[in-house]
Amino acid sequence: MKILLTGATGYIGSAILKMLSEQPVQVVALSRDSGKVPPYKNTTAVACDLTNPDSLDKFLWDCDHVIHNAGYAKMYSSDPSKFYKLNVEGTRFLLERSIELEITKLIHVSTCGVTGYLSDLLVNELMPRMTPFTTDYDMSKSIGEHLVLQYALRGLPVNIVRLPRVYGPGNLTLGGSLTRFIKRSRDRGWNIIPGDGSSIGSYAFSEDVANGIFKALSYGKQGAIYNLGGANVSYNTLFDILSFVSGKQIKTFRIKGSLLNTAAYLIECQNKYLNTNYSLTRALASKLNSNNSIDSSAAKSELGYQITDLDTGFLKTLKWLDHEKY
Amino acid sequence: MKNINGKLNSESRMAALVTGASTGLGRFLALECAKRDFDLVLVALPNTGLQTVKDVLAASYKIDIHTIETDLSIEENILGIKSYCYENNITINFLINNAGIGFETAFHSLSANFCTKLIDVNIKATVLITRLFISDLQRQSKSYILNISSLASYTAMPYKSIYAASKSFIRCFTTALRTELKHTGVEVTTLCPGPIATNDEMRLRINSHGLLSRLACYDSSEIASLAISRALSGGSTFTPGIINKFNRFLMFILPELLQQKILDGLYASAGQDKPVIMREKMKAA
Repeated sequence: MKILLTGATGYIGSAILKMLSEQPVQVVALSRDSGKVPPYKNTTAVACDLTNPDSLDKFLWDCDHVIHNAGYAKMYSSDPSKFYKLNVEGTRFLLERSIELEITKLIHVSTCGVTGYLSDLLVNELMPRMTPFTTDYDMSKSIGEHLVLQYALRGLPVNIVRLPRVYGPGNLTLGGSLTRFIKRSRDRGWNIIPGDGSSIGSYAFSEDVANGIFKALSYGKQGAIYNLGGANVSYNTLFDILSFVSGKQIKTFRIKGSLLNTAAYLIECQNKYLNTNYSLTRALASKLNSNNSIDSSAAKSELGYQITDLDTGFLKTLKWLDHEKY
Repeated sequence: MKNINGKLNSESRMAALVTGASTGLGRFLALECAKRDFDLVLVALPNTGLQTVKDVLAASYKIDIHTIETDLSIEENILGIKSYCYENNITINFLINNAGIGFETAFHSLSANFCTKLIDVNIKATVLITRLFISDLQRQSKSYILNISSLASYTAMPYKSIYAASKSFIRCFTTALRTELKHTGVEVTTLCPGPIATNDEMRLRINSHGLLSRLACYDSSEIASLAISRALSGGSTFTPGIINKFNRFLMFILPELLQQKILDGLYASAGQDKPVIMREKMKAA
């Protein structure tokens, strides 16, 4: 079995690639810079930019499955068209070629952000989005999902997996910000948390997510969307667990929502006038300050998706960070 | 003699017994003991994550860790802990009675079953475990007991009625024990902490009591580290934090009538009809 993986050098991509390297499969790892792909035995690293996809067919033609993980994953960019170019047009091109070349399963990696905040509900896959999109990233991913479902109707076997905040081993690129946040908190012994620290987030372990994606290849029902969520806990609980696992006292400073918003606004101004690219926008601030509990029960029952508890996940992450000397 | 890990045999190693060790303050007390190179016997209710606590500690510290998942409200189970230690040749040097049940609601809305359970765990289990291990502790040149009471033990607390009373029991009992054992090698310490944010629900409850309560609130990790240092240096009764110390002082000087009036105002919301919060403080009921 041969699998094409896009975005192989990203944070999630590297976790998927590592998981695939332990499976009895052949992998074609696509990225813009093939030199960054680790030399796994079953992996062929190739360079291909999905926004300029002339060369895709020669890698895709003999693949059975596709894991489409590539995406422009940032909270802010001074050039919003980048989001749509990769997350929408790149996806469209890959879907078009996949249906043409009769790919037997395509997994589209998306984000829980497409549903967004739903009034403190435990969010499952069937719930519609009720609030306007606040970031181009979420919007472009949502359009990407709609494209995937259109191709599903045309007969392409697909699954969409939605990821929450992911931590754990992986290439600490932009997507690994939560892992860096954990490391920074541990190293400094303090960190800032939004609001009173009671907002719930979903925190998934990168190895769980990678396994979930692999399971979706075999067990995903045609056209189904699966939340690959994690432990739904508050910032307070998160830091309590981190203190315990790291054996260090970690001080938390709570920043009022309004203050965080003001800071985010100033950063937006700086982004606009000084052409910087910081991610802390007001959209992100409000996201961090609202409850985002994710219901993963469909993935658990249909895919056999398993969630590592945070204690164990943090322990593995910290050991990995120390070992890799990040 | 060395065992397979190349460590000294358990006879020459220090061992701590921590009850209610799966969550909240308990697991941080276990962590602090692990940092100080104590072997551990951890006790908690079944299915409360004790195995995870063991796994995390075992990954970072080279100590022997035993876990006993049991319900301390049943007498035989407590005897079972003693026999487990005996059979496994573990000599306890540091006894930490941490397991306890708390609540915040009107007395009439508590079930009779819950009331008995609270007394069984907070009072009976603490006394019984201390009694069962006291001769072992006395036999050693240096040993320690740390009992967890509460700031609530200094006064009668409306809406925490039997909880505060049970903690008063622990404080009085432990202080008496300290005096009795003054000339032996057993150091006895009472911890009387103010509010501790052991979980989301506790934090919510603490925050609902206003700014002073919020400022007086500590994380489990801070309290645990202070408490273990205090116990090992042979300190007596101990309340961490300046605001909590001040509150304790107020409870000494204010007339009871005034105290009750203040507390009634502070906790009145707990008396209103709302679902009973019966969060076991250390999940050891």
